[in-house]
Amino acid sequence: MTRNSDIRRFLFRRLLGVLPLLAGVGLFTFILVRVLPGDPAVYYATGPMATQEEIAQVRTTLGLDRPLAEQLARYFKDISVGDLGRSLVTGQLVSSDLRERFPASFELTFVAMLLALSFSIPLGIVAAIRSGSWIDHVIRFIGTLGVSMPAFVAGIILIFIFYFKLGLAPEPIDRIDPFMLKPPAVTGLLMIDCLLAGNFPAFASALARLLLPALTMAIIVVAPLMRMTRASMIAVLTSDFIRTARAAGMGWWKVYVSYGLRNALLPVLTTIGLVVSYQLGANVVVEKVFAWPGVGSYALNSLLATDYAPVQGYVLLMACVYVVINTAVDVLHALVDPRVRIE
Amino acid sequence: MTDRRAPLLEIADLAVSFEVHGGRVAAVDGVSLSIMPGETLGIVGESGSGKSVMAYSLVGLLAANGRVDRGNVRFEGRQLVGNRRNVKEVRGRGISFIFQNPRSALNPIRSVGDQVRDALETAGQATRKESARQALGLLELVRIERAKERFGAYPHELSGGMCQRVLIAMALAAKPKLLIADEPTTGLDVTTQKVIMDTLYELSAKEGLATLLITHDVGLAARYCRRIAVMRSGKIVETGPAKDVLERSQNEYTRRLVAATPRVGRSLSDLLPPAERAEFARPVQGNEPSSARAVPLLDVQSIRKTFEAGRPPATLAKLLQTLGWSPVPETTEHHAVRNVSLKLDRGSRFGVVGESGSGKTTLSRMIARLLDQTEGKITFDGCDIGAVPSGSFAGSPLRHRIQVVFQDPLGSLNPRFTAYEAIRNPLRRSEPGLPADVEKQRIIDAARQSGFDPKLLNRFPHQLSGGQQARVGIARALVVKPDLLILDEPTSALDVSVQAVVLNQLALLQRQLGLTYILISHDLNVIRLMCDRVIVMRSGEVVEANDVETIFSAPSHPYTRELIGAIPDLPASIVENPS
Amino acid sequence: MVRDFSQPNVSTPPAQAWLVLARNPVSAAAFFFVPALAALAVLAPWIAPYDPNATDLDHVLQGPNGSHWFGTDQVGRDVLSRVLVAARLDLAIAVSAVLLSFVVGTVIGGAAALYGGLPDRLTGRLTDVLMTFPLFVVAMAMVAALGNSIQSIVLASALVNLPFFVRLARSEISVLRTQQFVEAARAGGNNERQILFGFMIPNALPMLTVQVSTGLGWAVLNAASLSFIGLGIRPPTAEWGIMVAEGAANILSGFWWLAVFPAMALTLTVLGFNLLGDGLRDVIDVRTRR
Repeated sequence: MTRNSDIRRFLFRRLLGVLPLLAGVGLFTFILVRVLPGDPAVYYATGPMATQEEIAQVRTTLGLDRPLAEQLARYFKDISVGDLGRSLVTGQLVSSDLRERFPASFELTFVAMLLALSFSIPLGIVAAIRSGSWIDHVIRFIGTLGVSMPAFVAGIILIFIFYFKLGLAPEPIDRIDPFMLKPPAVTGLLMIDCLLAGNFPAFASALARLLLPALTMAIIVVAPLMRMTRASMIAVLTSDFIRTARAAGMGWWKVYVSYGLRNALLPVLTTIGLVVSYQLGANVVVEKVFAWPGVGSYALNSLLATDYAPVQGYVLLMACVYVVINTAVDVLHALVDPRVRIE
Repeated sequence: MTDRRAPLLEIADLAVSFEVHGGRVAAVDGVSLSIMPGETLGIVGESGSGKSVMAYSLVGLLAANGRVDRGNVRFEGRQLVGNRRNVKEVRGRGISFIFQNPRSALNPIRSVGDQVRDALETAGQATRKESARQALGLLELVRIERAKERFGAYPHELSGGMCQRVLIAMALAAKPKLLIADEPTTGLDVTTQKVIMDTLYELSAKEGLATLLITHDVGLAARYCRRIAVMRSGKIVETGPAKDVLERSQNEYTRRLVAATPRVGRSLSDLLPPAERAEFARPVQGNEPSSARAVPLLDVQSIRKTFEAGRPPATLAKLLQTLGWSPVPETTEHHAVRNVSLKLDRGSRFGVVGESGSGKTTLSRMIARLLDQTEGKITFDGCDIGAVPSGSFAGSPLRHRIQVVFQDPLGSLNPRFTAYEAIRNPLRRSEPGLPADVEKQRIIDAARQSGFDPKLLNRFPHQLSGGQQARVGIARALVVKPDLLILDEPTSALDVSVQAVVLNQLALLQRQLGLTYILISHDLNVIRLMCDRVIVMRSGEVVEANDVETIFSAPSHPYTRELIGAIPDLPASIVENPS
Repeated sequence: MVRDFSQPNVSTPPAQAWLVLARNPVSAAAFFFVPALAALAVLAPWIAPYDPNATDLDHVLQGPNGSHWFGTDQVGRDVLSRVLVAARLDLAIAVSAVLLSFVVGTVIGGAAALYGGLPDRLTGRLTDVLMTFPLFVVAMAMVAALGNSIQSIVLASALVNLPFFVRLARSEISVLRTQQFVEAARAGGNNERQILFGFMIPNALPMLTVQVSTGLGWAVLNAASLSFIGLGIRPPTAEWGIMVAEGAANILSGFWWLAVFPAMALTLTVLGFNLLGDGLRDVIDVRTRR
């Protein structure tokens, strides 16, 4: 009954649960790199022009001739301080490459999720209220259509329609008009930086270029979110406690929003966590289609160039992002729903 | 005695229907009633009678596919049918509701105190600032102990009885004139039922509330209502003062319903209408259990069952403590059954009575070898079956001699098996070499014995009615010719008239086959009709063990007395108070 | 607790299926479309009008016309024939991948739920770890590790579906374990193996079937996406993802048919599987509700 201590205990238990997860993640990526073809020593060497002695030197320094268990321990130590090796292609530290490119992907994914939610939740609610009617069928069909399209198909179709045929969207390259002055990078999030610098033309340009790729990433996840909203809303609308609220004469807002929606959105929250994983995967493809300079295209280019250290770093990063997002979702859930706090 | 005042609620020729695939189904078909201010009217009916639907339709609480087809409903003279504004004003203020399944009727993510406040504020009885204080007052009024502590509790933290009290508090918030209670005690323990109904009764009297009590329990209506209306298939078959309806009814259905309610002084065959009694009164030849058996069929000695909830690792607990956070609870042990012993002779009819959490189900599962005991010995016909772990008992040759009839008629049948396959399965397991035609005959015989029409054997469970499902469960248990039959609340999910038939059937079977059975129930009246000896269980222990008549006439343990006192019984409890 | 048992429902499975399909014509369409698609795919080599790999430099980049319904590509190959043959390839990959993940996932998840305790929690943990990674990225890495071949794509697509089957099997079986008819089966003398195969799996199959259908959709998506980014199947093999990739370059020059037809085929296939899964789920709902 002591709300705060319940929440604190939940948070603690949850964070504790994250540790073995992260350990598993680290182990998995460790195996991943060992499994990829090629000599790991080469990846971590100082540059593409390394000589045989240098590579041998690197091998001993990195302990690649040591037993596997020791390598694993070393690996964990390295990643916990953020040493992810060096990219052969860019020649820079993977960690700094990722840091440089992450904001672009983050901005894209964040806006995509916002777009997805702003479509799916209202549509899901409408479909629930008009369940069984033709509106419901149409909405569900559109959602299913969206999720049936691979990300690259959606992206190409959008480019075809809005850039090629209608001429509304700008060229699908980069985040902002290449001839426009970029604002000083404060957060790395282009749109925020533009606003902070008061540079509105740049903001408009950045927004215009963000729209199509974000829309692509949104279309492919609207279906599951909308479905969950609809199912959850239907369940709530026919639930006993809504009947009690109506019988007590409570007003429309109280019954359907305060009592109803708040309960209905809880499963949707959980679904967001699941859906993010799919979006992060599709991110790679979308960044390729739109030539977006984010971590997805970075990882893909590295993979195709058999430059594996960035791939490993990317996979680790994505896993960590997912864990953070899911933990945040769970904590939010626990804040709203007291049943979750006791396990 | 005519009442000159104007009726509080007047219903005239109300009809409600639902839209389902393939047309409309009439749920309420021309109902007319009236309720006077301050009076308690009971609407009694079995499932499908339309009583709840009628109540919901009064204030527009029907599901989306429901519709009022015709009729008038006047509350304090104002028309409610088709008049949205009136309905809005009346809901929660003139007319309040309480529902069954109290825990699910409350918002799970909002504290109970806040919900009562919401009800108060909606009714305009309090502003945001005052509502907390008033809500607390209401919680105390409905006899919630430690109301201040419980104010911030959530529904899942409270018992069913307490949730129902919260709902009553919410219903009373607006000082309504009429309280509609839809099966308010279904699912609650018998002792809790009595307390809730008494509280409701007192509060109605105190506040001058009129009450509409909707229930399937004739006894409950008899005890708490002055007038009763009997509903069947959407129509009212009879209305009148409680005593008249229950004792002197001329209506065939009412008489059948009342007769089927088990109570003191009536025998099993009394439950049935006279025309149907003959079938079960057949004389039984042979199969008389030879009472010269010295060895009891079942001997349970000091049986015990303890469940351990998962314990957090010791290091974690210590860590939390050093961080100063509230100590994690120690390993929680739940003593489901504590030291129970009993002996059963062949042919005896044994009853186990208890409320939820008493351990009666756990005990039965251990005897049936579906659950391992923590300690204790179980001897069946001389064999130590307690030594055989429950996981391996399926292969034992003794398996078919102890059978169970489960509580949930539908849930205990595999949805993918027809009735035939369901009955065949245990027969196959216990007698695998049986020729096909012999097997078929055995199945048909078992079905007939249980009163199940063999023509329905190729139906799936969802295609059968509740009574038919129960009979399949019985046939399935009997086909393997068990010695001991454990009946776990076999009729609690059935309508009272169906129950009457099933109980008679069971009694006949017991006579014909010389069965020994253990009947588990929370319903003392059923136990009284069906058993010779009883044990009363509470919190895992046997508080009293005796033969049935002694238990009823001279209960020695206070808990037993409480249980007996809680049964709303006919006819002695008919409300005499003329107000 | 007193339920409405008075009116038994006598509808049979075909009647229930009909009920659902009549109300939802789109699902009904999927029930016909998917088998038709499968038939087309199987018969592709025989019904394709041209050899999918035959180049014809005299008829390069022709738009859809009488002799080439879907047009020709940049080396004169008939797009329709390529789309048909690609259907065969993509569906074969999807079916193998889903079959693999269905069998492995159901056995692991079901066994874990059945034994409970440590194996159950361990399985849960492992599945959680796997799902922490964007599965497409894992698939990418797998294909890179195993080399560009059809087998690696099948394995990678199987991996993408695996956690869903494990989770579903686990949750279905753990719910079924607590059902009263399973307890009744034990009382009837069935041992654990008989209970698993006779009582639990048949009741879990409906939901698993739905997952198979949507899983087929995912697998096709996955395979095509991998080929699109250049992993797995390499040109000149006819595969929808590759065709879209090659066509994308030409789309801005106005030769839309190179990308649009394979993209449509891809989308319609996945859509068909998804709608089929939805339709199946609706039929199951009707059955369980009454």
